[in-house]
Amino acid sequence: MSAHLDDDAELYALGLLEPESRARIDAHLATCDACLRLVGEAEETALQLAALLPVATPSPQSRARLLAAAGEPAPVRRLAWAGALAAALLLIALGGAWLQIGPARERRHASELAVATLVHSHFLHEAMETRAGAGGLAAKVVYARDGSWFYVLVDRAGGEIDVDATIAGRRWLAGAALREGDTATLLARPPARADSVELSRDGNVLASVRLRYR
Amino acid sequence: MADSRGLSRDDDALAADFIARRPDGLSRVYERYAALLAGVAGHVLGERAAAEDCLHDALLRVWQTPDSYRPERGSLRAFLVACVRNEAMSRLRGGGRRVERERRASALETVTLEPVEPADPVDAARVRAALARLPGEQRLVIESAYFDNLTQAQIAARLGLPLGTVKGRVALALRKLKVELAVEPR
Ligand SMILES: [Zn+2]
Repeated sequence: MSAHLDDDAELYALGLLEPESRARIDAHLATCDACLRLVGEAEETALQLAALLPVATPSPQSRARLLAAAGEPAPVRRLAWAGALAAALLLIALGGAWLQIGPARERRHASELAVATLVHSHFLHEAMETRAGAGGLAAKVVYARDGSWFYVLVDRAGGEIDVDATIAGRRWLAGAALREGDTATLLARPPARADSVELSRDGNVLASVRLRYR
Repeated sequence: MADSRGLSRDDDALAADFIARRPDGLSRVYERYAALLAGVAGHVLGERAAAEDCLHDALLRVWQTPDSYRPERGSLRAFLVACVRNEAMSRLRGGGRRVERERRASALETVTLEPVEPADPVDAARVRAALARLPGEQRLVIESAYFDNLTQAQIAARLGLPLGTVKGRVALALRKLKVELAVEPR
């Protein structure tokens, strides 16, 4: 029989323990209701802290994926089938021209979003300074005056481009730029105003720029 | 309003279905808590695809582990939030380059992220007020741990404290927060 919990109940609830410690505690909780209640109480308090976090809406696909993995079929799968059937009929109606609906649709979504974002805000732009080894790459960052988004445009990308920003001295990973032929773009919504933006490939910096909010 | 312990009838029924692993149990839990849980994961991991992966793994593990949750523990909601947060923190700590690569690979998802909705503002104000009533050093460890997602060692470094002190202070702070949350707003 393992030891009762002390301060670990609170650390557990806040996510401060390593997986090994948690596994040890889980085993104990299965046999000890006193400690189970301690952890439960700490979890209720931690739950209240979650009220300060923004909620997010997971994609419908992620719900379907979870339920499928859990082997929970009924309503969802039927719905998914209905949707798939409708999509198939639409494809037939369109003469199969939209067969690449998956990635193509996502891509259109990204560029539509970029267009809408640019049209509806006031923005600034800066050319990025390229480093040695950047090849013929040329890039520009278009960014909102209020810092709520920035849009990276890369010409002659020459491969995958990772985009990072510096926000209040900390590094923020914006993501990989979306490639279209030899160009690449990324629309990012940083948690706060980005002070600079950097492009890299395999950890090598290709270009960077400091953003000035005038 | 302050129903941290009081489970609603809905939540009770939901928990009962979940515990019994009834056919709809997981999908109903998902419908009710996914936004909250995705928010918790998203706060740690920073973006949608990584948060959804985390949510997927955490929920699936809980669902597939018999007796992973017992009602004696407290609410199912609080338990699931803790599971998801723990999974997210493990990914953040252990992932290193791998998590980074995954985050980058999923940049497309970043682009299509829907704007986040604010959490219940009344509840948020109440929690903020309770946090504000904590002694400064306690508030600081809670903020470092929960909102800045720091590890015990990182908190120790930030605050210049021995590791053992951090552990005790975090625990004390959370217990004190519980007391403050129980205080009715004046
Ligand atoms: Zn015990």
